[in-house]
Amino acid sequence: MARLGMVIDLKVCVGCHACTAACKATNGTPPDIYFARVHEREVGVFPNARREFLPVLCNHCEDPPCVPVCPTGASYKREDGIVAVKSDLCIGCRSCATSCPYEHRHYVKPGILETGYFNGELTLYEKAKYNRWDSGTVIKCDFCMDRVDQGLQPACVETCPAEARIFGDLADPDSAPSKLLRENESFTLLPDAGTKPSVHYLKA
Amino acid sequence: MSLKYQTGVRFNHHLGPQETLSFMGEGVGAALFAIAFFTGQWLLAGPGILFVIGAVVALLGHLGNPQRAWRAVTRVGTSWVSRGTLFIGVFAGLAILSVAAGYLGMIALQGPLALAALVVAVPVMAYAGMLLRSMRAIRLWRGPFVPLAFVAHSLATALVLAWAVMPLLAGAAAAPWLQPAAMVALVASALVSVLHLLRAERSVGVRASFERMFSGDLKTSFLVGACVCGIVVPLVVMAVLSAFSGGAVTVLMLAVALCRLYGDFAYRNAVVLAGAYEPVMPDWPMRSFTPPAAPTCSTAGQH
Repeated sequence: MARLGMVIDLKVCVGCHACTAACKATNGTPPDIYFARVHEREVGVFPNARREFLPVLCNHCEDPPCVPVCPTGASYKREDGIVAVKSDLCIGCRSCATSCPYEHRHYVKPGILETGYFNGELTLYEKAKYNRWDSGTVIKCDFCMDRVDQGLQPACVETCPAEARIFGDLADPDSAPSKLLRENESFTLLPDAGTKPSVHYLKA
Repeated sequence: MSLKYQTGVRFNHHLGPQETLSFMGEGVGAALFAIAFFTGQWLLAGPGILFVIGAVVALLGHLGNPQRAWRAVTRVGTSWVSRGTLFIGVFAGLAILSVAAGYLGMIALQGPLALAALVVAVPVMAYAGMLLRSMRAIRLWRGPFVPLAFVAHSLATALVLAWAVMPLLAGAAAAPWLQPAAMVALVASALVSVLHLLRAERSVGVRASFERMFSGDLKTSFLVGACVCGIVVPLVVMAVLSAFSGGAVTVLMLAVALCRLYGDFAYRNAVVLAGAYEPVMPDWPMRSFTPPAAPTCSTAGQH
């Protein structure tokens, strides 16, 4: 059985936020909601200072804490490991958002799809993109599963200019991410949480 | 655009005072029904049922799509929201039917219905704590003490309320056991709450929760509201009032009940709001990417 996942190489990430922008453009998420984000920090003291970046997205955990708490079955895990939400079943109780230790579930506040970014008339882009979302529901990164189902890569992977994101089947030992994980030192976020994330990081 | 994505400690921001009020309402309501059952004062069951209905209304207000709320009972095997919804629904139905049966004179039916409602009242009291406990990401809520504390606080509040209104319903001599029972429940709820805090694992998130409760923005609410108004004042006043009687005493008893209600809310609210997520990168500072502020223009494309 496939287990789709991602390896993010922190050695080559330049913190350009292209993943954030590509995700935003592809998914058209409402204001304040970013599925792909980049944390940053400064390390050292001038002249030996540098900046480090940590791109984050839903970890599509092997044992996702957000799925069993859902009272309606709206949160589910596909056979290929992608964790997604069926908006038409979501009642907006936010149990999943509360139980996600990574803060990667986002609540679409009622009214936000009507006011959009400019507190009034939606732009043509917003009108086209917001059709996808339901007000008062929880939304999340789904590894661009529509694209994946067509054999494409997630938007953040395809757009990364440094090729820092490598997407593939972690269950396949010959896949690119599996090879990278075998050959490099890697880590996941909050391993103590017991969620077994499918997003791995190669150390900077 | 106030949302900051942080790599450090983050506090729960999905559950707030409205949900806390709901948690308290269902717990206290179920406990009041239980007291009505044991005292035979069915007039107490009315406020109990009203508390539970108020809690349900508050919960519906929390939902983004309340029109789909019926779906919430479809995952009782895994979700505590589902289980809670089912328990509350069954409890409210049985409790209303048992009171109606008593009102209509069908005493033979009232007993079994009330007993069934009493059985379901226990999980209704525990539901909120079990729900919090099931949210594994927040370590302050882990372990057996949150559900126990929520049950103990529900019982204590309901007993104090019953003690305060019983003289009005059935005279000063009715159910004399209510006062010692309420005092024992208050002490028990305080002990379980202390045990919860003492036994919580000392992770970064839990330490941040303690800091917020004992020296941060929840300090007044927790120390003055939950500890003083919720435990100390009711205990002291109940002990003192046992030697007096009269109209002023009744007013004081009602004031103590209100004080306890506020204290119960303050306790639960502090526990809910202080729930913190562990930092995703412990050695990273709090500083992180902040989404850019929205443009101030009213129409896109205008220059």
